[in-house]
Amino acid sequence: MNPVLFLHDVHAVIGEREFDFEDAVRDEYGPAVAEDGARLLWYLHATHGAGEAYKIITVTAVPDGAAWERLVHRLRRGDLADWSARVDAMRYGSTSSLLVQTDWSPLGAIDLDEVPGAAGPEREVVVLREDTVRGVDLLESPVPAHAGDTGGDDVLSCVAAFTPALGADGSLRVLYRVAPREQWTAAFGADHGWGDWSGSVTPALPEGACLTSRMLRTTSWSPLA
Amino acid sequence: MFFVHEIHSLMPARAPKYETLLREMWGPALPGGGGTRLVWCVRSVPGSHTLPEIVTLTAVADGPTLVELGERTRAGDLRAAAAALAAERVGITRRVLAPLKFSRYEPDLATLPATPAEPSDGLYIHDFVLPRIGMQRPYEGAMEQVFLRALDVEYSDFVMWGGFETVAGGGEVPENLMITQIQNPAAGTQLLSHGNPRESIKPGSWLHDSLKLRDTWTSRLVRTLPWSPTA
Repeated sequence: MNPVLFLHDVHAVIGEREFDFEDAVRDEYGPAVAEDGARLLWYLHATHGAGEAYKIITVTAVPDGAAWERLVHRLRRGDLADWSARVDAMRYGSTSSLLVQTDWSPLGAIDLDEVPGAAGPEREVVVLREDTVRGVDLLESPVPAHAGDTGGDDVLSCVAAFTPALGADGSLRVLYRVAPREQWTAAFGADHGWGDWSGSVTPALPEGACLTSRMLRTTSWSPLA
Repeated sequence: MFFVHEIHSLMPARAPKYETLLREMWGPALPGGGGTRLVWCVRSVPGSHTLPEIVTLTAVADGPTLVELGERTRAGDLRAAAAALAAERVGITRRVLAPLKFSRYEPDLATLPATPAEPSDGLYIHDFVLPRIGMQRPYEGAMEQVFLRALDVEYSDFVMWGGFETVAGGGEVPENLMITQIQNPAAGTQLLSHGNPRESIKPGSWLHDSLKLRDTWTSRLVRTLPWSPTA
């Protein structure tokens, strides 16, 4: 079975065009990719106060390699080329990665038909954390025992984990949902020394793993929270 | 006064040892004949930019003392300690900073205790801010106005702790470092989860109008190490 592919895009947006960019993704890109079976899953923006300002993360699920090739063509020469040119003027640049899920990713098999192809009803904004983990052998990385365990009082709940679709020498990306504020604030105010918040899969990773983190927020219309 | 700002990138397993070396060996050795002190030591908190890392500010009284610090590190009394630290870290990023005109952070190096009377416990947003082209001095002026207005507020959840810029020979120029103290954890999670919603960013608001001055910055959430001389 072909694994679903994930386009992970980090957009460095010009501050004054932040909302123009959001509108262009919500109103044009999301519905357009859905026409060919792909789905925009997450629209996330870096929260002010932690991480890089005006960085937007989009994750688009693409059913297979052929669908990815069609999307590439549409963005370069097809019906989305004009959209690409316009959003290029709204950002300093972007970094695009083709990813697959790890075997232990809690997102698991995803039925793209179940994901809305256009912005749906507004939902509560939630906070996510994305870790980029370097220094891990992606072929040998163990399954963190509690990945996907969303019960209990943990601050972090792993939502999904990805590795590069090409090669085994890149970074592991782990997406967490952060607990509601009343639960999170106590952990935020405590000194954790050299440790992480509860629910992190990092302790299960081999020694030598180093993290870069982003605190992210969904928009109210992001298809997944 | 200048500040040597260093980001120490660490391996998780070696971070505790590195911290010990900083506290017990490097910090006490730095003063030498005076004019140089390790003044502010923080570590990244979960969710911050990079984990684990330590950020330090070393205050240096003037230019000659800065040159002397370099000589001591390369070939003098600090050489062995510097080598010991280098062996325990992944890398280091070093800048030389001077205070912006409104910054109030200027520790008294002659009287500053080696260790705080009470364990330091401060939580901060540490921002590297790149001005837009040609906007460094307008940005400094605008931040001064923000600072002066904040003085009129009896209590704020966020207090501007220090503002600095890189100087010639000290890294990317122009670049600013703004350090803001978070007065309580609930204010921190409120900012991250609900701060600056789209509907609030309108003409006349700081976050809207200041985009003419800068729109590229990198924030770190950091907490003082308990032994940090200042917080």
